[in-house]
Amino acid sequence: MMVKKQMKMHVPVVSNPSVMKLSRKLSVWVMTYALLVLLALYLASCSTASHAPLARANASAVGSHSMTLSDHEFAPVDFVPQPGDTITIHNRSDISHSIYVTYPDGNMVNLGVQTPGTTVHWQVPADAKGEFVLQCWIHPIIRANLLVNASNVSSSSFKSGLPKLTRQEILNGRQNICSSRNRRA
Amino acid sequence: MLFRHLVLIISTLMVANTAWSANLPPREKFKRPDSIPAPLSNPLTLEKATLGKTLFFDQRLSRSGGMACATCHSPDQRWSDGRSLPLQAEGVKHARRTPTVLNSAWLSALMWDGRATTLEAQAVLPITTAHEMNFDLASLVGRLQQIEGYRPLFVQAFGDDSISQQRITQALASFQRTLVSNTSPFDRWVAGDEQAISEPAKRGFVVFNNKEKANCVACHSSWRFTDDSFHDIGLTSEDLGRGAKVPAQVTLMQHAFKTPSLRDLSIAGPYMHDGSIRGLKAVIKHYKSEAIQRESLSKDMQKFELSDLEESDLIAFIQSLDGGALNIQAPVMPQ
Repeated sequence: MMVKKQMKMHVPVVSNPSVMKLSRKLSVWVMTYALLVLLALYLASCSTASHAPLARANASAVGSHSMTLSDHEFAPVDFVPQPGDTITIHNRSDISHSIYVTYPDGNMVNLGVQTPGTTVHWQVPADAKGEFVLQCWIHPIIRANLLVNASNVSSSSFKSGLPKLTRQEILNGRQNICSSRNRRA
Repeated sequence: MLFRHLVLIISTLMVANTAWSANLPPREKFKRPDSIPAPLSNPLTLEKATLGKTLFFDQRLSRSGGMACATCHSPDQRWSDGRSLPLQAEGVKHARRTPTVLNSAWLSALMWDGRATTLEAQAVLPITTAHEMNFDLASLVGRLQQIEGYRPLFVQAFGDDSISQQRITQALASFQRTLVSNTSPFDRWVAGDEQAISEPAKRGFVVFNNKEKANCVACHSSWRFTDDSFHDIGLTSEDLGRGAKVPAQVTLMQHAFKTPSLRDLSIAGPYMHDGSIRGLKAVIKHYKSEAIQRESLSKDMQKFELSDLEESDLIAFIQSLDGGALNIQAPVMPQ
């Protein structure tokens, strides 16, 4: 009964020639727009896929390297920096960063404020030798250690693999602590 | 024809909904950890935490014998003091509100300006600060050595009854590491219980994460709702905060303070490092448009608009982070 009623209500609207014409036009526009968006997305993805490896290959050939910031950490470093190399840091996170480099002699170089989506550059000194530490003024947890003129490279992030209590142990411990007055003189 | 239009509209709505959902971080990003971290140099043990608890509540850790750690970090006040500025802070230049010690096991920078990097190092500061406990650790060791009842506690914690500065700070740090927020309604929602938080709270979660809206998550991230980092949020205080601890040319750190956690907040406040704002509505008002525009202002802080409904939703969400008071009573003091 209800279905019949609804059909009756709709019939006059659908059968109106001017509305139908308008609907058809609207549909064509929507479909065209959707196709254009899809085409643009496809081209964008093709562009990224084809250029990214090329950029990396070139960077490696000319002594340039890339580092990436994602939220609160550097992505693992996969290169060995040499004196004179240029390192480009990409901020791929949604937050701003402010990276500084501490040199082996304790001097510091600020790379400035880096808003989301932007890059900054740092050139490894020509006479560099030793450990250079990259940190963020805003987010002290962000850290990467670069060894120049050395074979070992590391990127650390203060992750603790240290003794831990499970949640149940925490709760048990809390209960024991709460009742600890009974153990005291 | 109408059917086709309906299909088109529904498809469009589905796509829009997917896009909207994609902007939200996955709930797992806010999942509580299963264990408490502790440094290798001070493994967490029940015995050390027990000793630390006694020390934490003992007023004899202050020179006058009238102030304990728990005087300002009170279990009844969510391990803070409920005051805008601490006791005895009148006349102290740039005095700062007492932060909670809840969930401090996970902190990588302690104190509002991050001047301590471990709980062990931090434990020394209030004991030795003139307007706080105003004592020195050498005298404190001497005083505790005179208290017979402490000996068995040190034996249980460290194997013998020797009392040292290091053992005192290690025990205090160990107790503080056991102060972990109770499971909140939000935690249960993250774990999959869809009914754990209200619909307004769920909408508030969207406002909290929406870059075009409050975007609180830019700094209040992780399961503790802090990034353990430093930001100038445009308060009128002249306190340089982190800026006084880093080279002067680092403009961004001028007036910057550590992001506080949003868990287990006292709903009435006070809030901010200087205790200058009371009530969550006033906090939202500040972030919307009242921050001082200056070079050091956090780049992640942009003016935004919220409707009354969005504001109340955001507050409902923040209230869902409250797991309630910990069931911890003050111990009997050793004599």
